[in-house]
Amino acid sequence: MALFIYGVASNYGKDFFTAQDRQNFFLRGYPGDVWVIGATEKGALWLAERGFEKTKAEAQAIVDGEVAKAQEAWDALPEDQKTNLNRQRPTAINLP
Amino acid sequence: MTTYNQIAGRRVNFLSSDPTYIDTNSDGQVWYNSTTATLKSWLPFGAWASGGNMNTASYYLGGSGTSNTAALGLSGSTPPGAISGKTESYNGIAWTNQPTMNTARLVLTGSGSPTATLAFSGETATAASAASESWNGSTWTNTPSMNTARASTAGSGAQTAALCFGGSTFSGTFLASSESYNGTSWTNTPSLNTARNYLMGSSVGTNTAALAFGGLNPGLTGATESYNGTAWTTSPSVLNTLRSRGGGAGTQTAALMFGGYVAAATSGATELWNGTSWASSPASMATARLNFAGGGTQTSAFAGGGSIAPGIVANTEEWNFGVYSYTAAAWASGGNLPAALNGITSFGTQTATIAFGGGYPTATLSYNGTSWSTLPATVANGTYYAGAAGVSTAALKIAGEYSGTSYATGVESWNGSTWTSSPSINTGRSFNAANGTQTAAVTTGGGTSPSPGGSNSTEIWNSSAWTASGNYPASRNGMYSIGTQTATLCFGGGTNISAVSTASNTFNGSTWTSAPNMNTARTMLGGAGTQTAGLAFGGVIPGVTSAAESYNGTAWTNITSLSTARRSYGSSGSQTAALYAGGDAGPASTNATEEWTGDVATATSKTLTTS
Repeated sequence: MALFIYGVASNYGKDFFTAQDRQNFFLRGYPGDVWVIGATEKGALWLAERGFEKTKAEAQAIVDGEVAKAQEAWDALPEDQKTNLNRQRPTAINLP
Repeated sequence: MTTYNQIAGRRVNFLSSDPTYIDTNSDGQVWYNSTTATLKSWLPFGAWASGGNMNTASYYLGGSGTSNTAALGLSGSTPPGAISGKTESYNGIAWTNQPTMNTARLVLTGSGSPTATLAFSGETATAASAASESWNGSTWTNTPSMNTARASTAGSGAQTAALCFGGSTFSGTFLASSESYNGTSWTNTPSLNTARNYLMGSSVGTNTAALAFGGLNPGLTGATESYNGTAWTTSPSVLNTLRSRGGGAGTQTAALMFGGYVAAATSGATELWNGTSWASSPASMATARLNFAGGGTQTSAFAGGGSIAPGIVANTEEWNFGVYSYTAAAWASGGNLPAALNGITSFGTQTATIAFGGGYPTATLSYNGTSWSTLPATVANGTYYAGAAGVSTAALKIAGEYSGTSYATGVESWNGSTWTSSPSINTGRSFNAANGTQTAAVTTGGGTSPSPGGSNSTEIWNSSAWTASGNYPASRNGMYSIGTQTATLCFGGGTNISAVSTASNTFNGSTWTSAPNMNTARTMLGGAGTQTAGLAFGGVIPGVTSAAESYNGTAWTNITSLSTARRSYGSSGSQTAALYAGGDAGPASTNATEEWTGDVATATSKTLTTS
């Protein structure tokens, strides 16, 4: 059985996820409104009420697209800004 | 007719609202609530609540501990069948990996506390084990072996006064024998009346006052035997649900049995022993399981990991018996910022926070616990990762990077409605840590010129001028600090996003002193709380992290992670009610807000009925 389900849901703010939700199932947000949710009945219901399920490959592609856009923006920066000690070129994110 | 007054020695109070629960002396108090027209009482009840997940899902592990906030998980097996010697400690919030045991094994038993445990018996891949080892809170030391190699035993007692009973040999012979440890050696003691393995015991009893219950021989048994230091006596009362491979807690006269294996199934059933008989609790574990780490007392027990057949879990359940209902600590979503903002800074409480800077050069934002609004007030120099000190009605904005190439010295004062210019700090800086109040603040570290990677300079504010104070022990930027000017805790930071630190230090108003390291090295993180009750969350490690941890004045403990990994100074609040807003979530900024609520214990009265 898969440990996670994957989906896209726009965080509308207060009560988008509650403390009880966090106790009920694994939940982690990623760029592109991608969410990784524990594969439980409550987790699946949470996603169904807020967004759409994706396959892991589809979700990973969305995240990869967001990272690629950010990398392009970084690459377009002037060189002096790239040497800022507090910034870095966005790196790939692998979904669990 | 006998009256309540004659029975209880007091009359039933007539109250318009429920009284305050004081302590266990309030148990049994009866009153009439005239508002709800109900007869009520403080009646203790038992309930299981979710706890923090173990770091590694495993089964066939051992457990020891004195409560559901002081436990150890011992060795066991991890998929796909490897025998682990891993040790994890639990503080009621999170499990922390500890040094590995000397002898990796399955189905072992532990006695004692998280800082003083004896682990004994068990089974390796090829043999039953007589190994015995002692844990002092940081290291395992081998102790003299048991007289009989055995597995699937039960135990009672403490690190230097333990009793091991029952179990089986590697070939499966059921054992009735028992042995006692006195801190120096194991001595054979009288045998159980019923030989069995996978039994349970009064984990926090003593080695001369123990209880054995349940197990296999070869069928399930509910037999209960009591040991008085001389002999085992079989009780006429047996478990209501016959089972094995479960959890045992408590003492000879107040024990708890939970979970385990029943005929072809896992069980979540819970039973309480009063010294004479077993009573089934209406509360069952949320996750029926077997072969888990369990222990504690009849009023405060834990169950971590185990098998759910099929499958292995990492989750923990905590048993509490009393009038309190518990809600576990967690992050929840708050109202979104009006825009995705990286570089904001905030101050205040979870329900009264002010934020500024980041992508909003002059705006001032207010959060009321539900939503963000933009205030009429404008900040003259909305900065990027500035420092801040104070509360939502009286605060300071301290320096911060303004142009991206120069380091600001400007300070502005906030009175709850407007910003006004205030005397500048002496050294311009960004990504600086700051805390305190509007009239007594401190700022330290941050990128400066000519030290863009971080400074160690510290300045304090006395409501009229900034003056230099004791240098931070290292030059860093991106640290976060909490507390007052004379009781500060500053943590994390780095010299760049790839050289980050776990260090934390305290400040007494003039000098810095080393404090325990955080678990996760990070910079540009958020924080909340005080010097002795703090939180650290998010940041860069060097990628953004969702990790969060709690500080109690003595040690940092991992807690439930944020839902969205990010770096931001947009944090505020306390250890039990914190806020984290906006920031850089990796490839892009985020408008998300998360609210942290610590464990909540609520005294719950019961309505009495005549049915």
